[in-house]
Amino acid sequence: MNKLPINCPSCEKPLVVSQLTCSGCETQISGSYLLPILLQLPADDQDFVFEFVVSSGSLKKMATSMGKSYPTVRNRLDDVIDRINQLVKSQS
Amino acid sequence: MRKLLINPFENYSEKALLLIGLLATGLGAASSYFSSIRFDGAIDMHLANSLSFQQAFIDVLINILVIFAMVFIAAKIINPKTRAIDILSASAVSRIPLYLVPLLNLNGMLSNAANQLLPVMTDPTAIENIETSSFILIGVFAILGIAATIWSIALLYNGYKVASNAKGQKAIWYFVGALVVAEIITKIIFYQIK
Repeated sequence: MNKLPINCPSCEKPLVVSQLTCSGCETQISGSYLLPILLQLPADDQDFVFEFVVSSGSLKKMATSMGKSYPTVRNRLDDVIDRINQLVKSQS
Repeated sequence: MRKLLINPFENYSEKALLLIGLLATGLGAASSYFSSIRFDGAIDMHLANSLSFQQAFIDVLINILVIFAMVFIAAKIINPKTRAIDILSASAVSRIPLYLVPLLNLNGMLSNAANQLLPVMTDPTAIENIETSSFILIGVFAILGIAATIWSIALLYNGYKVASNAKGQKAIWYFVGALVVAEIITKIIFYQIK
């Protein structure tokens, strides 16, 4: 499946949802909806958050499964948190 | 391979790194003792006339602990979440390149070459009596010493960077400051216990 684009390929500004379609009756809703914060993260950050949740939030477990050291994984999490905070700030 | 030599802290667990660091510390003390080269400063090593194994071991231990304390303070300022074990393992592992240099003097060749140089201090004409091989040996020791010091500092910096998620100029200056203070403190300690 194609990855969800989060930034405009032309001007790099964040994309918004302009149309939603019902998977059952194909009713379409048009508007301008912001993507949820987590979906606005780059794909690799989203993968990291997914792994973090699947590992029950255990960075040690994640470090073992990723073959990385604990501080490397914790730094990655800190960087994701920083990006989330920036996104929250930019939307408020 | 490059990562293993320059930045093992990204991939290896703190327990494995600390174990390697502790083993290296023992071997470093042995290397210092058998080659009569003292690690008498955070980034120093000098030829010694006589050296007991106990003294050699205390030397390497003082260096590691002082470097650990100073770099840990810098890392804590940068990131309060920094763990002591990560900086301790980085301090111990980063010394490994330095422990290789004294191996050049295992049979006392370097000490002999240095002894030949001593009379030149008082009588410059004595330089004619020095064998070319002595110059080459001292030159090789100096080059290897500098290379090992750079490698060691690079290892320590990478360990500090990974442990504290340090980024930017500020983090570099804190690290440089920590290393300079560590060097000054170790010099004072070694001067006191001389």
